[in-house]
Amino acid sequence: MKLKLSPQTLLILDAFLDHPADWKYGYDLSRSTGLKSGTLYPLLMRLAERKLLETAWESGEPGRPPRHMYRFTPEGMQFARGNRESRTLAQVGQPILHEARG
Amino acid sequence: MGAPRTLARRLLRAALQFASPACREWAEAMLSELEFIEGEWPALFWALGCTTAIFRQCLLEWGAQFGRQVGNLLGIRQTKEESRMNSTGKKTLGVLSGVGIALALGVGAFFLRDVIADMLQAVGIQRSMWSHLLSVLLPTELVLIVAAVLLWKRRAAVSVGILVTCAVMAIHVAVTLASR
Repeated sequence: MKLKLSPQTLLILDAFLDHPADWKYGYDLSRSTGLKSGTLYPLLMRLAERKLLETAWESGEPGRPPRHMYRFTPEGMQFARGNRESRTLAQVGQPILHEARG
Repeated sequence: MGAPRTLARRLLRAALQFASPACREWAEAMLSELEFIEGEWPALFWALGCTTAIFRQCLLEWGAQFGRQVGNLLGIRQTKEESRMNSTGKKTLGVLSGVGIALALGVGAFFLRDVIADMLQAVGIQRSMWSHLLSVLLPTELVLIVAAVLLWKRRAAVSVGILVTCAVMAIHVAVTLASR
């Protein structure tokens, strides 16, 4: 699956990975990742378009509008976990490579 | 409800009207999320970001739709060659964007030249060709070069567009100076 993994996309994937089964709201994601709405929503749209995220409307409390929520699809969770593992491996491998070269 | 939140809501409602069917649900999501944001000004900044995102998405969709319609009119079929053309097209668009950005900055600097000259006169520097060169043209060229360097890794095509325009402007200045 070809997806440009910018640092901002990685922040979002990490935020979802913290509690993968939970639904998350846009504003909460914005606060936890520090991303502005203009950056966050295009990335959420792209992730949902690639079927890595599923979306749903939460029935609102009386007097409040329904809220849009997001969570990983099974493919999304697999993709994010794989990506996190490869990043961790790359981070662990770097000092070993430096030592081997040095 | 304060003025910033009212403005934020109006902005998002306006954006919702322009939103394409594909991103209408997202626009509605942004509008409803606005009600959960604490604070008037954060709500306005949220709406500004969302509005930008919606319009950017709409522009992308309109662009793709326009491209498809032109392709249909010209009878172009989706082939490997077209994919290559798309890549060339993207690069061309990037270069043209770079040229556009550089020209916009150049034109902006041109219109600000009198203001800058007045400011220099206020601090005792008389208006001359050299003051014009150093206060208007040189900073513009510097800004463009710095932008091109910063964009080089991520948007090479845009960077090339900026550098080409920058070079043309520099040659124009050199020719003007030489002719005087």
